[in-house]
Amino acid sequence: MSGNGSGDWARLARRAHFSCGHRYYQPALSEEANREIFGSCYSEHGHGHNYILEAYLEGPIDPLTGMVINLMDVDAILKVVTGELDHRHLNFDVPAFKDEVPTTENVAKFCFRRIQEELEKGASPAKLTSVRLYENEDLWVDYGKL
Amino acid sequence: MASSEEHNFSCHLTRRYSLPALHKLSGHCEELHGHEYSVEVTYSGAIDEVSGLCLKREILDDLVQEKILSAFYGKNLNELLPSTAGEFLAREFLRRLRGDSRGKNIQGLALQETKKNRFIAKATDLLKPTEKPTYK
Repeated sequence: MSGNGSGDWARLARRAHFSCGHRYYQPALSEEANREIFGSCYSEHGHGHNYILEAYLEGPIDPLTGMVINLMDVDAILKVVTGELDHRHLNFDVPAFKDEVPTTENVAKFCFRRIQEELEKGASPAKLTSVRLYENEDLWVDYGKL
Repeated sequence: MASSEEHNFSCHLTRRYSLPALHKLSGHCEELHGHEYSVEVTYSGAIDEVSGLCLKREILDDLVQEKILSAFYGKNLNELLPSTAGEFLAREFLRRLRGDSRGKNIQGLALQETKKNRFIAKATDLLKPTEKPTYK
């Protein structure tokens, strides 16, 4: 979409929430190695978090709508992606984490890839630049083009 | 499974630490007063394929405890540092963390003094003027 040629570009962020359980456990390693690497995050059943996901997007401003992308479309994508994680135990219920440890880093990477895939199905020229995933207010991960 | 496209993406892990401390500044902040500072430390690293971590949390926790919290937690900063302006504190804390081998990949530190002010130091701020990248 070349628009009116003004070339105005903008960035925006949209937030979504989801809650899920996870366990820091790498089956390829011994119990001792798991305990050593994951410390207090390693336990038999795991624990849960109320995650906050922020998607950072950028693109040209559509001269007709004044928008980079309709936030309702972003919300629909975030609902699909967080719906794959929300109220599940990541290690057991989400195939992507069958072999990958669902650390904050890997969950952020998963969200980045899935949002990108969903975004590419639509017609918007907006691009996902990065995601920020808060595990809580004292720990978060940024993943993408930083 | 790292595809070539994935090498363009980076991962930053940020941890936030609470630092209650006293200070005073000349001007209208010259009475000794306190803040519960938030120190946000951002580490940049590749995600390890086995552990799924870009950094073991305990490494950063120990480093911040040793270099920042044990020195300044609950203390009067004016007795310990040549300046206690947020600009200086953010840069000084970052310098102390990066001075340790465990902190080489810390690429930034943000110091939240109150809800209304925040000071941000980047690793490139610590470079000597001659080493700084030039922006055109």
